Amino acid sequence: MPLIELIEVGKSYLIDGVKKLIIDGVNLSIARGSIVAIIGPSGSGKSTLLNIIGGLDSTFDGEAVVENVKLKDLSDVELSRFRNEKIGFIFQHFNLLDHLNCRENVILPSYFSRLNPKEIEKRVNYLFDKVQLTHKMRQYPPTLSGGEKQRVAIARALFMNPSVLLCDEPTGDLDDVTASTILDLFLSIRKDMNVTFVIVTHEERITKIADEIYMIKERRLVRI
Amino acid sequence: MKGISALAIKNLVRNKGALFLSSVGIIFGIASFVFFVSLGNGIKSVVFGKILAQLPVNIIEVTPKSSTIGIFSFGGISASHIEDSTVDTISSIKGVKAVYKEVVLDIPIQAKGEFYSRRIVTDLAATGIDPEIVRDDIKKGYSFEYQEDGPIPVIVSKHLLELYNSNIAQAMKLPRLTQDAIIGFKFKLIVGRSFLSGVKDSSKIREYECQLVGFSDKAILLGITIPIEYVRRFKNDIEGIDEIKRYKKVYVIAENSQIVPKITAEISSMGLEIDKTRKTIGGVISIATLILGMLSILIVALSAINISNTFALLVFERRREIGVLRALGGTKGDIRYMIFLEASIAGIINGLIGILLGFLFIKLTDFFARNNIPDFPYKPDTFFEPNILIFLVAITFSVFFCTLGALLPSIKASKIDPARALTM
Ligand SMILES: Nc1ncnc2c1ncn2[C@@H]1O[C@H](COP(=O)(O)OP(=O)(O)OP(=O)(O)O)[C@@H](O)[C@H]1O
Ligand SMILES: [Mg+2]
Repeated sequence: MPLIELIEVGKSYLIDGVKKLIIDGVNLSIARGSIVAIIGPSGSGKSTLLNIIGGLDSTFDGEAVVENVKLKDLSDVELSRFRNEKIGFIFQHFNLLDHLNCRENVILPSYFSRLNPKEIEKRVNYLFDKVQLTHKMRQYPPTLSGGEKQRVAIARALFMNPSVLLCDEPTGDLDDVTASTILDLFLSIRKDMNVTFVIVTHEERITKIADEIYMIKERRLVRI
Repeated sequence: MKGISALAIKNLVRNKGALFLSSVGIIFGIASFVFFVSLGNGIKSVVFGKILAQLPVNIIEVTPKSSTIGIFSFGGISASHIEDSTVDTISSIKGVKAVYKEVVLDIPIQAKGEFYSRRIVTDLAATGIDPEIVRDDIKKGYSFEYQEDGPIPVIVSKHLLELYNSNIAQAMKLPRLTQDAIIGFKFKLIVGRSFLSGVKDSSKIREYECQLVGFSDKAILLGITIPIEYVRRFKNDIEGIDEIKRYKKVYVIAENSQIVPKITAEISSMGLEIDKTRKTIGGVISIATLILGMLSILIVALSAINISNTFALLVFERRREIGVLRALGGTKGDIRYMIFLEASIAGIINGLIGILLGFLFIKLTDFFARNNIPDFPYKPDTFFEPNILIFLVAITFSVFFCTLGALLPSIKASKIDPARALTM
């Protein structure tokens, strides 16, 4: 049973009254614990695909099933809960909230859940240790380097113990050395937490650690 | 929920600059609300507690309702009477010591006299009044009682003398008069005849001697006021009626001032008008307070537009952040709740600052009044009487209009498409 399954997924946007097809007839099956890389030119629909898998976009054609749940059947509240519990998002520009310190950023997902304070404390300590930023827990994001910011974002994405990390150009804003440490971190996370990775990227290094590589070509998803 | 509340507070702290600027209107509105309502409250208590308390508070003036409508009266004069039976009912109210009556003399009369060697004949209006109620206004050495023989005692309004001095004396080149100078002045009263209504039965015309014995606020303005017994006598002489059944006004004397409110309540429930002066003063202060209070609320309400603009702008600026919160599991409701909470907390803070500012104005005004305004009768230590209710109402208004202002922005925020906000 695959963790993620897309069946004949299509997405179009209405631009100036004209329907513009972005992706079409996408079929994809991802096993638990694997690392999948998605590549493609700018504007080809990579982020669009991640948004569909992550339950941020529910107005698409076809069927998206994650952990046996048909995403299209879910209400706003159910979909929000799905994102909260099953999905971790990693962005190119980190998307940390600058007016919250690192610790507060990391526990942000707990605001939308029912975790008790003790459990929150346990997870904070574990995750900051994992991303090696325990000493910067009380600092605010603007005082961190790019790599540190992305590590805080990774800790936040992992906070609710998700099954999937959806990463949109996770190393796009980082230099080579820093990018490598992030990739090492990904591998260690997969090993310790059995998390599945879907990574949108241009980077060759990421495609090297991926189990499968797909490319969006003329609106379709092609395995390479 | 606890987490979202904490987040709302942090968001507020971050945006305090923009929010404070847009809150200035609300803060000043709340401050002026507290200021004016406390002022109205304070003045009312000075007027009622100190000034009106000096008046003989156990006297209640009762008039028929239609007479107070003034120029808009449609019922005609005949409708504005207090019936004898009504007077009996009033007398039987618990705590009523006495009821003194005033009646219109509805028989034509004329005054005839010599005034600075001019012979004057003029039509007159007259009322009869219970002597008891004007006893304090009678000049020493004179009496205001009914008597078979001797001159009829007459009182006139203090304002009539004022009117004469300021207008008539000047126009007719006559000397000004003082009260003392004309007390004891005598003139003839012709009963049963007037220029206006002529003579009905010349055999019944009588002539009496009158003497001015005092000035009173309770005398009618343009005419004379005599003891009520004379009215009865004239009616008997001219119309053969020995009874008075309808009154223009009655004065109700309460046993003590504490019982006055109960009596007034009972009398007004009978459809009669009470104590115009007292009610008018109270009404004027209440209305002034109300208008100023409403004006302040209007300021607050208009400022809500400011708040609304600011929140709308903040929501627009924060759409990426809102997208992040949605990605992390926030529902539309969570986002709405968060923005709403921010507005409510801003409302409470604005309300508190406004109250503080209003209080500061109050203290400054009192300080200024104490040191710079010369003493006047009944000058109070403070002109203001703020109370907890005013504060609560102020906070409520502030929160109400802040959340009202944030209503549309919060809905807009919840509708932000996270997929779009995050990929932009
Ligand atoms: N909400 C939207 N309304 C209209 N068009 C949109 C919207 N979101 C995305 N698009 C369009 O859909 C196409 C795919 O966008 P998407 O963000 O998925 O591309 P991408 O592959 O992630 O590109 P990039 O590598 O630049 O991030 C683009 O042409 C974009 O302009
Ligand atoms: Mg993209």
